[in-house]
Formats: sequence, structure tokens, C-alpha cells
Amino acid sequence: MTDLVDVNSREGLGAESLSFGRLALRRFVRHRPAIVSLFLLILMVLAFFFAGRLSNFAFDAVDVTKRLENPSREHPFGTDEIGRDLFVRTMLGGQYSVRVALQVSLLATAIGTILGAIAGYFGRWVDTAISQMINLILIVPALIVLAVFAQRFGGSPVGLALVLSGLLWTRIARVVRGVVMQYKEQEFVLAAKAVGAKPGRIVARHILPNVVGSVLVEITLLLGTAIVLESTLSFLGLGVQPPIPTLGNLIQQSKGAIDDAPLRVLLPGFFVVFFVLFINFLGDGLRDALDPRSKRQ
Amino acid sequence: MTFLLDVKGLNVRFRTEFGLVHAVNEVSFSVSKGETLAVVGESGSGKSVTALALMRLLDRTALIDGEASFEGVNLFTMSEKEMQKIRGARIGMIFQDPMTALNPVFTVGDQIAEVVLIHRDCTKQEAKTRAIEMMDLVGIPDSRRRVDQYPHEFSGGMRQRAMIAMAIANSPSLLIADEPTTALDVTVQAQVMEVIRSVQESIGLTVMLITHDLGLVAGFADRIQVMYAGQLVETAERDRIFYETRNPYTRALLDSIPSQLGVPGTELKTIGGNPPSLLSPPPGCLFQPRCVHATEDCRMTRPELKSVGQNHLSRCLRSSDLGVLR
Repeated sequence: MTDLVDVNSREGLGAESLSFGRLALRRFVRHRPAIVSLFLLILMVLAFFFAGRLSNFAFDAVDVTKRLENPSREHPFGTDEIGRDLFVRTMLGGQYSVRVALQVSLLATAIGTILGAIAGYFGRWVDTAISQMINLILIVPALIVLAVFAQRFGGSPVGLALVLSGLLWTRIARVVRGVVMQYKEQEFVLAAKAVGAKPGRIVARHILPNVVGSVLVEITLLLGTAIVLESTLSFLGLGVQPPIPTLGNLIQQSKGAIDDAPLRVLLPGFFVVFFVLFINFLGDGLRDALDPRSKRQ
Repeated sequence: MTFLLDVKGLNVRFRTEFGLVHAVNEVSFSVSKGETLAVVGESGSGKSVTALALMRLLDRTALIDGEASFEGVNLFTMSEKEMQKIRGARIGMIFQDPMTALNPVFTVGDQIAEVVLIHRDCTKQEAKTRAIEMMDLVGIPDSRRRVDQYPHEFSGGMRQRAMIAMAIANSPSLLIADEPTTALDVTVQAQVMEVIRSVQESIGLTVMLITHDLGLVAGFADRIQVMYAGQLVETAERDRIFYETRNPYTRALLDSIPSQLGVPGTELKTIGGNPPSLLSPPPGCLFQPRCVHATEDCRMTRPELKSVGQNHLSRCLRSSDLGVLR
């Protein structure tokens, strides 16, 4: 009797099996800029949502005796021209901006993924129709369309989120369409058809899970774009209307103070810039982690 | 004898920007219950297209006509919905490259269970149990652990076993195997063919094996059907194809099998030239430009499929004067 070699150890099965998701997570955790950014982003968002409550002032409490004060223990970011506390207003402004951005990315991702998947999978006239719609949205000057629609619907944060989503879903749709077209030619899709799977199941189960990586990366970029666009529109007075603060309209209200009290303008701007920066680092980390060919360990 | 699958006058043409490509031309054949039919031919002979046409898995550029009756229904006239109920339930199919035919994001067990869930009214747990049973049947060791592993943790041969498990999970009556061993190592090829054979015996499967490897079918097929340029050129019982070859193309194919007793340094025999363009096939016999027996007549007259013996058909103008080819 010769020794039987254990089949499992021979095929390297001794080690615990790792799914692609767990491998990706491991790569992500080791991507230092992304992890630091994620941590700072969470801190920033927590501050937006909860730091305002630590202050004794309401966001719209007017105190004309304390106009245009410089930062102090009582008012960490100073006060505006009618004596409202700028720390509370900036935090709340950040909260509204982040909310709009989240709503936009959620809605735009949903629309973009569904339409992109339909266009990519079914092809032919369906693809032509959806692609032409995307092109149409992309060729018209975004700022003008946004300005028109934002003036009509954009006064409230939710309205602005809807308008921005209507424009930004096209980016997701293009990415999803491309990935779906690439995957539908794969043999495992043919194999799924050969076992009697219906088109809906094939798209949902066999193609979309392969799209998740690219979409996640695209969502991070979308979040950044949405924050910037929201700030731009609100700065131009086309976005969220006062008294509700957002980072954009806070800058707009303080823009005259750039010479006397630059901090008042720069602080909200600082939040916009760093939010976008961290988001981009996060996207970078996700891209590296989710790339199956990535060699980073 | 009743036929499980009876194909009559199958034509498949593809619309291309250069015109219609006639990929499968008037192909008729039948497969009896429990039998193994091997369809043999070189690349582009229409063997895979025939299989995909039967499964109705060709894309919209393909024009199919003819009749394919399977278990009493015509596969070509039923609706797509009815066809979905046949695929994976009554007809299973395995593909050439097991490395790409499994979805990398799901466990192997999930994918076998999915086939069961699509066609049966059962719980996920029952489907998973069935998946483990199937993995045992196709000889995947340690199935309880393997069921939760991902395709990248399987070797090529194990993946092809998993594909077979998927294809037979609902006990179909017909298994179409499209070049099931082409992407595999020679030593693994024999194992996979052995799996197909043992499964065939245990659940009474009818197999349609598509391959370009005559050596592979020698020990496996009951009947062999040779295709060339979209046409059937010879069909007979296995032994008749090997020992009483009547068609020059079949002979050329047989001569191209590398001999295991070959003398080192001798050149491999090949068939000179290329198959004809299916876009504008020449008149006369399609194999004539490459045929060593071709005459002037072969260039002008298109041969018909003629009976040359018991259940033995050959498409050659000279089959009666050439006799058995050696």
C-alpha cells in the first residue's frame, strides 16, 4: 500500500477560501490614503450632522448686537452680518450639501444603472434610443440647463437633488452600458441562457454583480461632482435658497468679506475642497481594490 | 426505434455586411434515445452552429429554417418562453472553455443550485443539496466544502465537471457537449469523457458530442457524423467510419490523427488548402479543391448525400468507383 496523497492539500485547498469581495476589502484596507480619507470623511460628515447641536445657538438666531464678529470661544467661526452663528450655519450647510450629494448619487446611480444595463444588454434600437438621450443631455450646456431648471425647482434641497440627478445619471449609464456590453459576450452568460435563465435574471444575477466595482468608483466621483455643482449653483443664487444654508450659499453671502475677514469665506470653501479631495482618494482606493488584476497586496 | 431528436433540413444563414453566410446547409439527422452521436469536423464546418441553433442560442443575425422535433415538439416553432423551459431542463449543454463558462462572482454551488431553482419549485436549501449530489455524481471530491468555493479555486478539469453537473442537474434527456475537452489537458480530457460516460449510464442520457478530435470519439461514440463546410459529408456507425470510410474528407481527417507509434522527425499529415468561403461557395463539390481524388466532374457537379451501405451515407460523386478508402 502506497501513501495516498490528500487530494485537498495537493490542490492547495488547505487555506481558507477567499471570495473576490474579501480580497478586495483586504486590498482596500491596505490602501493608506483611501483609509485615511474614509476616516476623515466620516469625521466630517459626523461633524456636519451632530456638531451643530453642541452650540447654544440656532442656525437662524439673529443677534444684531454681535454682527460680523471674529472667531471666538463663543462663536468658533464668527458671526455673519446679522449676527447669526457661522459655526452652526457652516455645519448645517455642510449637512444640506452632503444630503443633496447623497440623494443625487443614489438617484442618479439607480437611473443610470437601470438604463445603462438595458441599453447594454438589449442593444439595437433600445441602445440607440438611450444612447442618443444620453448624448442629448451631454451636449446641451449643463450650467444653462441647470440654471433654468434650478430656478424653477431648485429652491429646496430635494428639488435641487432631483435636477442634478436628471443631469448626472448619464455618466453612470455610460459606464454601466460599457461594462454590460463587455460581459454579455462572456461565455458564462451564454451558459446561463443554455440553462434556461430569463433575460431579467441574466442581467440581475450574472451581469450586474460584475458591474458593481466600476459603479462604486463612479459613485465616489459623482459625490464629488454633486457637491461642487450644488455649491456652484447655490453660490450663483440658483440653488438652495436662504435661510437654508448650504456650503455654496454661505460663500455667496460672505463673499464681500474676502478682504476684511477672509476666514468667513474660506471656511465653507475649505469644507467643499476637502470633501471632494477625500472622496477622490477614496475612489482611487476603491478602483485599485476592485480591479481583479490588481497586484497590490 | 424512436428518435429523441429528429432534425430535418436544417439551414442556418448569417446576415453579414458582406452578404449571407450559409453556415449550415440542409443538415438532417436523428439521435436515438440513449445513443451517443459524435459530430466531427474542422473549425467552421458548422458543427457548433448546429448545436447552438438547436438550443436557439444564436443571435439575431442568424436565420434558421428547418425542423427539429425533440420529444414530440418542434424546437424551432415554439415561443422563447417555452424554449426557456426546455433549456437546462430537457436539454443540457456544456461548452468548450470551462475557464470562462462559470461566472467568477458566484460560488460553484450557487451556480449549480441556480439551474435547479430556475426549473423546479424548491427551496434554496434543497437546491444546494441537489448541487452537492450532482458534484458527487461528476466526481468532484469533498463536495461539501467545494460547493462554497469560487470558480477560480477550481482547476480546469474540475470546472468542466462543475459545468457537467450544471447541465445535468435537472436530469435532461439530451446533453449537447460542444467541444467539452478542447480547452483541457490531454490527461484531463480522458477523465472528463469518463465522467460524461458514467453520468450517461447512471441517468440514461442521450449525448450529442461535438468535436474536431476523431481520436476522442473513437472510444466514446455510437455513431459519427462528419461535417464539412456546413454540409453533412458522411454518417455511419462508429466502426464503419473508421474501417469502411467512404468519403475522401473523412479519410483525410483520419489520416491527420497523429499516430502514437509515429517515427520521431516524420511530418504531421495535414489536409492542404483551406475550407471554401461560405459566402460564395464554389459550384461542384465543396471539398474538391483539397481532394486527392477529385476529377473534372467534381468541379462542376454538387454531390448529394447517398446511401453507401447499411445506415451509411456519404456525399461523394465517386463513392461507388472509389469504394472503401484506406
